[in-house]
Amino acid sequence: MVKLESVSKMFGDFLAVDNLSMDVAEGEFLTLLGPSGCGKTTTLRLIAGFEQPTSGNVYIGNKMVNDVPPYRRDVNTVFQNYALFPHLTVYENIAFGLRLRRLDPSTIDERVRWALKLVKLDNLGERKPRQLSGGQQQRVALARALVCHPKVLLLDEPLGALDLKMRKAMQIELKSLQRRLGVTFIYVTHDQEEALAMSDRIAVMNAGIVHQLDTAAAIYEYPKTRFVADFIGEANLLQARVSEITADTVWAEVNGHRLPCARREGLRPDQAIWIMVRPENIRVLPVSSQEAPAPSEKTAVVKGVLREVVYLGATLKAITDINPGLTITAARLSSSSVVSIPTDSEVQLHWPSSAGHILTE
Amino acid sequence: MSRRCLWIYVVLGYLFLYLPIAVLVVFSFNASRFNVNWEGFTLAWYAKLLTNANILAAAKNSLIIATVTTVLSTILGTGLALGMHRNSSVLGRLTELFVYVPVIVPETVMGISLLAFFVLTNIELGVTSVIISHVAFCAPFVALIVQARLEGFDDSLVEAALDLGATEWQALFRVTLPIAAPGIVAGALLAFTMSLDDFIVTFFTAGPGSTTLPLYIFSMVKFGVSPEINALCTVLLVVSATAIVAYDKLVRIRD
Repeated sequence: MVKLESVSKMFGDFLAVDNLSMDVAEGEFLTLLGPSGCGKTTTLRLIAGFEQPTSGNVYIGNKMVNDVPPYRRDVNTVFQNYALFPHLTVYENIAFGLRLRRLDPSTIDERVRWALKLVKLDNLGERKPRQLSGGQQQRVALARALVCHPKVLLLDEPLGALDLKMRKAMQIELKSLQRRLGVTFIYVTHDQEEALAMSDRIAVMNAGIVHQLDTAAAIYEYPKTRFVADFIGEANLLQARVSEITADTVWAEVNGHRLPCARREGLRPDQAIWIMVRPENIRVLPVSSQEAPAPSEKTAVVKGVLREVVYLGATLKAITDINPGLTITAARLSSSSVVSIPTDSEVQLHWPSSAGHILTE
Repeated sequence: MSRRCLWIYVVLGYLFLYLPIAVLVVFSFNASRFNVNWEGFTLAWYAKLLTNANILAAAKNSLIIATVTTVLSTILGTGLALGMHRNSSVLGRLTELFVYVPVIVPETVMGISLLAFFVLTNIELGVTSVIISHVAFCAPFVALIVQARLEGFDDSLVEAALDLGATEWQALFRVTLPIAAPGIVAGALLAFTMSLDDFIVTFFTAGPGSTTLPLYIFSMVKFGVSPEINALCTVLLVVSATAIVAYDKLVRIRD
């Protein structure tokens, strides 16, 4: 539905988007995720037509649109600050695009009412935008874009200005709306939780480059780069060296510890790598515990000193110092036995070798 | 105590500002020929205005000049303001600087330089030259007022309009101009009053047959201030004051 082909965008001598290629399928919910300044909004503006690529091509529905102005593109945008027209009522804001298409008045009325109903603002048509709450303004912006029946809806951090509760509710609502209407959504956010909750696929961006474009689960479990591993969720990133490669395990050496990791192709002995272990895969046991499995090809075990247990509600974080100069964070349910371990006592951490994910870049 | 002092100060200040005007207005209703004693109420001087062919001709000139000036300087000034708003380059800032020049240049200098300009370009002094001169000093005021209105204008509104299918022109007429409208109308009203009241620039640039009301009043005053002049000034005052009050209301409109 939307295709970017080696697209680059320079602002002066700042490279905002660097040789970016991606393919967005029809009806897909794709999120561009990254820290501010990573080029995600610029990418969205390139698709909307507010910016022209310095090189490369943009396609919408198999048509090259590099030179097509925004008003002739079959896409609509929900802006970060909503950009509602302050001089028009909610009804007229939504009707704006339809009036420009010179539809007959009864069709316009029908479609505006459909859109108002869609975003549950049936009774607020006569209000001015400034008389609405942030959440309601956000819905008007959504209705105004969707009423034009775009092939692709572009959303630029649409929930950024809402409070947490409202944001969570809108996430679910947006997702179900997207599924119901079957419209392709390209969604920009810096909030990884939001991205994981809503997207079919996520493109993780940094410094104008897409680091990984994959499903939420794949990005979380099998990040391709350290940036992705670090940006999405919490990760223990251990600098390591390949010490031995066996039939189904890669043994890595981390500061004197030998740890088994999930097998992966293309590694050679002595190669510098990073191991990523998600905190929730690590168990913490007192050093004397009988439950602890022995170190093996299947299980990584390290000993350390429990420094801090941080209570986070449903879960808690156990921060452990491993000698020399290594810190590993484990996340357990608050009901786990970790709470009974005194801090500054010796503990052993273990995780299945399959949870040790090797990164090379 | 200090409160009372403040009140006295305020009252004296307003008396100083408005007493002469009040006297003028009151005497325009005076039945006496002279501005000395009050001899009863009359509207005769206003009726007399309507029979004086010279005054009617001057009023007609003034209205034509003020109207055309308003239209031209509003279009020109609004365009300037839009350009300055969108362009923050060196050229844009330079334009902004030049817009201030006619605002701060003494009117006498403005009048003489315009006169020199018309002589140089062989433009005959008359209604046209007065209109050109008035546009020259009114358009910058319109530009500054509209620019103030556009301050804080969210440019993403224009992008939203383009996104919804509006061409650049449609976005201008459906979004930018309606939002700037209170500023534009306020600028137009100010231009109208400035053109209607202007004496100095008009004095230098008017020719035969383009006498405006202020010029005519000046020539009448040479033979003494008659109640007729008081009446005429009162009419001018009411027109200007109405425009200024409307201007003030418009400038205060928030979205």
